[in-house]
Amino acid sequence: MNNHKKITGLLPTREAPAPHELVFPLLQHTGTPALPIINVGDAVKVGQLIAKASGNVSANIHSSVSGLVTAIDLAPFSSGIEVMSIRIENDHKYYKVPMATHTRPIKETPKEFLLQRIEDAGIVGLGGKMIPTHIKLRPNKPIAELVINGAECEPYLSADHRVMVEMTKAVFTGIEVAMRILEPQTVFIGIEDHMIDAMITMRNYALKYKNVKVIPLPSIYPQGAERVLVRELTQKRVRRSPLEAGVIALNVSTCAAIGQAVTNGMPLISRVITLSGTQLEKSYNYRVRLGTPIKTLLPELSADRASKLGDLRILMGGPMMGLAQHSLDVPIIKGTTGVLVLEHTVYETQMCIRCGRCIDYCPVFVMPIMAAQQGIQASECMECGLCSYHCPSRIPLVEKIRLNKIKQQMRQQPQ
Amino acid sequence: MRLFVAASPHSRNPQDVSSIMLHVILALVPTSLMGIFFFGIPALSVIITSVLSALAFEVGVNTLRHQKLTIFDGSAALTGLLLALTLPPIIPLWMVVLGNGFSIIVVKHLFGGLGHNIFNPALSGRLFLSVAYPVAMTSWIKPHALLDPVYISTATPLAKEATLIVSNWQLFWGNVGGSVGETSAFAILLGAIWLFKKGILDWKIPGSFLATVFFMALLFGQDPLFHLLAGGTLLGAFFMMTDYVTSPLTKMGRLLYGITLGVLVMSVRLFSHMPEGLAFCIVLMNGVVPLLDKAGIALHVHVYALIFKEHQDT
Ligand code: SF4
Ligand code: SF4
Repeated sequence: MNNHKKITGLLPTREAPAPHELVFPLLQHTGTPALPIINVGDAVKVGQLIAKASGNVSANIHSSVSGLVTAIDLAPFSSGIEVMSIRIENDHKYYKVPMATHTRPIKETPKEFLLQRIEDAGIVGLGGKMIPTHIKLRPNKPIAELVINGAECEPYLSADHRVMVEMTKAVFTGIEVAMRILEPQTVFIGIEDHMIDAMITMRNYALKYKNVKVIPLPSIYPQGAERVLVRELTQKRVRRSPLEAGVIALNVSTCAAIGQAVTNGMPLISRVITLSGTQLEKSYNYRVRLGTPIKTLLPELSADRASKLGDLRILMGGPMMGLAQHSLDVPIIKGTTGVLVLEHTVYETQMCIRCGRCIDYCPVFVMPIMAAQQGIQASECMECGLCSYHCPSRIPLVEKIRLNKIKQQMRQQPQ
Repeated sequence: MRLFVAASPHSRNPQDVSSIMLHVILALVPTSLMGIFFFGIPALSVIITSVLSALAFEVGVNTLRHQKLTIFDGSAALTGLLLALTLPPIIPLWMVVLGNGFSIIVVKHLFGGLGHNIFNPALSGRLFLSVAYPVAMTSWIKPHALLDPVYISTATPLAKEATLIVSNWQLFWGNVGGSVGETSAFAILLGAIWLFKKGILDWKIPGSFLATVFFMALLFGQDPLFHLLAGGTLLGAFFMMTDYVTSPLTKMGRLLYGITLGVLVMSVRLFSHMPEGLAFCIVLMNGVVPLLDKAGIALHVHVYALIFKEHQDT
């Protein structure tokens, strides 16, 4: 698989243009939607809490600009449905709310204080799963190993790569915070071996800690999938969540966000994403304010030039697991790792020729064709997409497995 | 500009069915060249007739079934080529055409076409010819016999009554009497290694089969190398058994298939008088593939449960 990383991985991150209107979906995390605490017409500042976590699993949402709340209504969302969202008009003045810095060494800071900071900042897993981090860091069992995910295996994406190179200090502060909270025996940082600069910087930093190991990993998709990464680094085979085996995995970007939240009191209002794809002339990593609609980031697709472009697929996330977007108004949310513009290709599906490739390539030892046809082991599939990718007959295996999964779940829990 | 929504993944491995078939055909080129080198023009004409007639039958069936033309997926050409490689070089050409007709029409398309056929089309075609024309199917010529004024018929090294002694080196290069493309172990291995590199050939079936043959031969005090090199064993192991459609799909099923085939082939060779039992054994085992896959699935799920232990407290 050509991983297309070279385009963006070595270029410095740029500041993304700021839009006039931002959209903050209330559901940018797994769990229940956050509750808006502002009203239409209110003035907000950068970093101001606009929606509060509600329910057991939820996360705070903050404004990334200063300006006026113009509406709280349904807005397009990356998964194709419409979600309740807060719309804010940017006044381009960027007044900030005061943010409380923290200078005490992490080692001497009480755990509860750190967890509270993370919770206040509304941090969720930035690798795409968007599990609220303060929940993840309160495990119900002792943690032996902490795994830091710098593998970033999806083709095209290199945001984590840039974060490791440019924000190494924040990443390590975040790791230190997680170590303070979880007290693991060992910390593994897994980095794919094509990111040589990231590897060197991270190794140098890791020298300060005696139980932090930076491990190079072969650049093979899906190296960064949680179960594969944990298996590779700790030799523990897990069926669903690594927590089963006393392991917690955090993404490097999440660690950077934790670091900034703890030391600077900075809520999660921006993130680095990769903007790339075969149909874009220039590819870069951008630091984007959350809530920015993708059309702001893609001036190439503006009306006057759009006629020249053919059929496109705009993805949020990588080409293997990303979601195709139906509208350019969809905002960047906490879990967006990249926006890719690819051409739309239709593949003609043929009869299964029983080549067995899907079975040979499945990283978690599922039989994809059986899971697709008969639902065997469907629930173990992590939807990495490798089976569909390799199927010479172009059978949409993942799609079928997903359907079977849903069917099985519905059968298990009748209302 | 139009935006399209589709399920992930959004890119695909460029290797699709037709490119796989093309790769296999290319991998058979050395073998075919060796056949032509040793057996001359007759071998060449058998190969050409076979491939062309297979393509012609495919077009015919496509027309009758009101299908899109499927000759470009390469599977028909591959069937024709494989069939040619298992035939004696001096077989009358009309028999080649007949064999292909059987392969493509009966074995492949009457069962539903590529992906549905239970039996390996090329091998079934060959068996059909052996049953219908036993004499023509066992008239072999000595390599380079072309240069002699008279074709000297000879036996393949595996036939019991064979008095001629061939060295393993001769078998390795293919300098012996036999089918067009079965004799040169060297050329077959060359093609197989290339397919391995391309990720098209899976080691499980040929590996388990050849290992079984090797150990069975050792067990019965025979020369294991001779059994590996003679009588189309390698062509069968790398190109016939591994035919995707007619071999098991599951990992465990493949191992079982290879081992069973090894035992079966060696039993035929050791205890019966059928000189070329390999084709019969493969086609026989093709019929058992659904069962093997059932077993394969069950074993797979079982092994999965063993290695990915369900942790209790989650
Ligand atoms: S079944 Fe397919 S999508 Fe699911 S884990 Fe295996 S390879 Fe990935
Ligand atoms: S990869 Fe595709 S063609 Fe091959 S066995 Fe799986 S589903 Fe069938």
